[in-house]
Amino acid sequence: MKGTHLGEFEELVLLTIASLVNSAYSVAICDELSKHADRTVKLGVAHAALHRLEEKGLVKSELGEASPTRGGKRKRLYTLTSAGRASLLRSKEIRDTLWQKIPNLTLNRVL
Amino acid sequence: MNGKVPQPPKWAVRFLAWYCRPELLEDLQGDLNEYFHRNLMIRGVSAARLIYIIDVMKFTRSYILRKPSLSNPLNGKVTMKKQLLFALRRLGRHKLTTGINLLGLTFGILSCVVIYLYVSFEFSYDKFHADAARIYRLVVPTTNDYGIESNGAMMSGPIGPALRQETTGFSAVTTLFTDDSHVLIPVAGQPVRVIPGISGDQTYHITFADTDYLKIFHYQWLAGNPATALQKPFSVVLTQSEAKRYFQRGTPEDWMGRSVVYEDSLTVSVTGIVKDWDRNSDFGFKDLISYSSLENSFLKTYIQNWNMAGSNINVYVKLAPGTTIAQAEQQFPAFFQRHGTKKARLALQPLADIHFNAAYQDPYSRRAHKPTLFALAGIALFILVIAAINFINLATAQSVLRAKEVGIRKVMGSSIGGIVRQFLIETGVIVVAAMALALLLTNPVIAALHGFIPEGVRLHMTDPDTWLFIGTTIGVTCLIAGWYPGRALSSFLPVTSLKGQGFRQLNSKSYLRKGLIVFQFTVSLLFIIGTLMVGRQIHYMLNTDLGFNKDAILTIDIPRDQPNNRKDVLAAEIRHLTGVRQVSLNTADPQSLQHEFLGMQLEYKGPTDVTIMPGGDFIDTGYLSLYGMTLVAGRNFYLADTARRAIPASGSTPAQPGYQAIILNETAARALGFNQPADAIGKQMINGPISGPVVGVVKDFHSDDMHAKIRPFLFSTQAGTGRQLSVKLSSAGASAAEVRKMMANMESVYKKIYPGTPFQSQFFDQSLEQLYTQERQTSQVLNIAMGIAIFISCMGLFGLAAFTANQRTREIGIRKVLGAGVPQLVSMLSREFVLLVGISTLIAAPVAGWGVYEWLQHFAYRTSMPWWIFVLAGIAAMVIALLTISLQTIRAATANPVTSLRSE
Repeated sequence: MKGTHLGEFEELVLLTIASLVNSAYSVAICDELSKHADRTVKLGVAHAALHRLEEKGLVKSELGEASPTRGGKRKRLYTLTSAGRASLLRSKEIRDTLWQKIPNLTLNRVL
Repeated sequence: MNGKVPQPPKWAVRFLAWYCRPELLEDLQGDLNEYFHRNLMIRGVSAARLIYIIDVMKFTRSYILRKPSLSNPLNGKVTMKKQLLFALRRLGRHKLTTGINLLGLTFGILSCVVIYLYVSFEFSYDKFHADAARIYRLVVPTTNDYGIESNGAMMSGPIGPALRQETTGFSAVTTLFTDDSHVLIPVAGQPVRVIPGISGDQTYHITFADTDYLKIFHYQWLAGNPATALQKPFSVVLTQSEAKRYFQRGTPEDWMGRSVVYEDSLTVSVTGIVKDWDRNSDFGFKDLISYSSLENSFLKTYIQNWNMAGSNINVYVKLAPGTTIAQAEQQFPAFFQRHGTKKARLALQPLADIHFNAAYQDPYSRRAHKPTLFALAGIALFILVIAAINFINLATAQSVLRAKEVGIRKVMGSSIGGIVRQFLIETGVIVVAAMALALLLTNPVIAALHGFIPEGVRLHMTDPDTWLFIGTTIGVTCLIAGWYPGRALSSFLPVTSLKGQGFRQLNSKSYLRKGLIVFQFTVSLLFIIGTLMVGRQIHYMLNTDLGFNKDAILTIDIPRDQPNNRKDVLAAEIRHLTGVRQVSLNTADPQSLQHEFLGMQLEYKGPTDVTIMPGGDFIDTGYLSLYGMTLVAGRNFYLADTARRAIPASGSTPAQPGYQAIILNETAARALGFNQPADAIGKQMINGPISGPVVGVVKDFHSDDMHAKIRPFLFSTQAGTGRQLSVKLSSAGASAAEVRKMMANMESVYKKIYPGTPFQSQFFDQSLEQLYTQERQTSQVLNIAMGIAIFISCMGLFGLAAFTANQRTREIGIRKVLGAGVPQLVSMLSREFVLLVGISTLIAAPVAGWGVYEWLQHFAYRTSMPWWIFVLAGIAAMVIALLTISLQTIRAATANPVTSLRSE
């Protein structure tokens, strides 16, 4: 088993899944990421990331409804597992802790 | 949405479905469709398609690729593993059908495997020699007027060496002088060891050969030098196995230079050891003695005379590269003119022909009969097809039961291919099981048929060709047996079959089933008629009036190269044993393949000069009465005729020719121009320097086997010519014990006169039967084929009858309730089968009639082909068929209608 370490892109995908609530599936995730993160996300890349996350046990999936644009094929809907939620929270905590250590002035100057 | 909406490229869709893991497929397809749809709007059709293709390619990642395994999805949701499981379940549920199919296919495949091994064995002979296509044997292609082929491979000694010197175009010319001998091995300080000759097919294991022989046939040398090993007189090259047999232990180097004694007198020393060929060859020589030994020993008289040919002297040549047969052969007429011999016609026989051409015999190789091999292959194929037909028939008959299953499968989304595949898997399971059983049985069956199949035929599982054959047989059998039923099954429309109307769909197919039954029984009937007719011809050949008596006559071989007067002693002593009625010294039985005179010219200077070439034998005064032959004119030989000197005394002039009294047969008398046999009596006949009067004419008799017409034949008489002693036993009805006692007495007399030579004797009627070995083998093969064909066909019939009876249980119940009796019901159930066998007879009769007619053309004297043979065969087939189905029909007809009608 791979470690539960969360890569940057994986974290973004995980966040997107959480934000899309019950309608997170590959195409929607790609669209969402492209819109907010300002980078084009290829379908294959998204699938690979989703596959890895599922393998790590951070997300689970089930087949949802079909639509005409999908040629009658069902979509795979992703939701966070409790482990996924925990790991998102932990990475937020780490960041928050680090953020709080930065004095406002320093940051302004750096930026 | 209408159908005009552009779709992603089909092949890419299929490609994705092929490589993608099934659990991921649907989602991926959906995603790609969504993107395609989206791109369609923004970028247009072609761009959308291109992107679709690129995405499909980019999805080929390790976690998406499907793992190759048995659990691949094939049709819809059904995996191969499951299909296999379904197949096994079905087979287990229908035990009778499975048993019939398995047994039938096992027999069919077993026949195929055995015959394949046999046929491929025969065709493998001498295929391994380097430049085999350039190796030929010299033969004389002669056939005389009466169809007797003379032994055209025999040569005389000087031909080979002269040919080498005087002709061009041969890269090697070698003369083989083959022999069979016991061998003495001198061992220092010990008594001489005696090694007996080899028994079996290839007894002639010794040949005299020169260095050219080694240029034609290559060996792997373990010791010695191929260039010099066969040069010096009195040297021998042994194969490794032969050297082990002679010297028992040691290495090839140890054996070099040791002495070996052939025929008690020819001492040679070992100059080379070669490895035995491990492939099949007619040249199974194990002792190669240098040809120069022949020229320097007591055997040299055999090879110096141009006119003294021997069947154990053969000449082999290797054409130089680029020389054609025609170029080589056109030198022969001039060659023989130079040497003044009559053998002007000389031809080259290809190496590949030697194993199959019975016209050219030699004492070391074995002949295979090509037509027999082809016929066997055909028979094997027929038997396999019959077994496959059982499969087809039972499967289509039972497809009624499967109509619902197929309907449901189709509703669940199975494709036609999927259903066909399911059925082919069921077929495959049975065929593979049958093949496994057949392979287990192959070697025992070959061992059981050892009289017919030559030694050395065995199943070798390491041979790649065998595996190829096994694979092909399984594949072809599966396709023959499984394709049509699978196709027929899968064509059911789910709507009708689920409504329970599968029967109607099948009715049209039962014509095929009937046709196949007709085919099976036609083949069986061909075998039945063939067996009956071959048996009839053999019976005819052995029991028709042959013109002589063959009962209670024993012939004893007299060894050659022994003083002539001992023959008379032997005859006299055996004559005085109890139980012996008559004896005769002669050169051959009246009917034999080895008559004394071959190519002799008999001249009669009558009104016109007539010369005939009769066959003939030397006999004595007792011969005609011993064999019960009838004189139609003149008299028997007198003892005085036998005693007169036949060969002209040396130095005599033609005025005092040799004397030879002659008894002709009627055909010879006619051929010489005498209308009445009596006219020939007293006329002088001339045979080269010998002449003599015709003293009698004997009634025509069969001097050759029934393949040949009766030809001109004569008897002469001359003291000391006898090669065998015919003994007429007085008691035809003697018990086996008495006959054994008589034989033992004769043997002890023989041993007294010829110590050290084996006593070889044979009953005349048995040696007559041996003339027809080929026919008897044909008869045996047909018998076996008939048995198997009938057995398999009947098993199929049995299964079908069981099935129809079962299908019609309710109908039978109703008929019984309405008053039908058991006989009516049985006849109702049997009628169809009787009709089918009847049709088979009508088809088989002309085909078999034609085949038997063609076969009978090989015989000059043939039995008749009466109409009742065909009727008999038809009735036999019908009785067998009725008996086969009777169990089922009677059981169905006697069943209690209450049980069959209760459960509606």
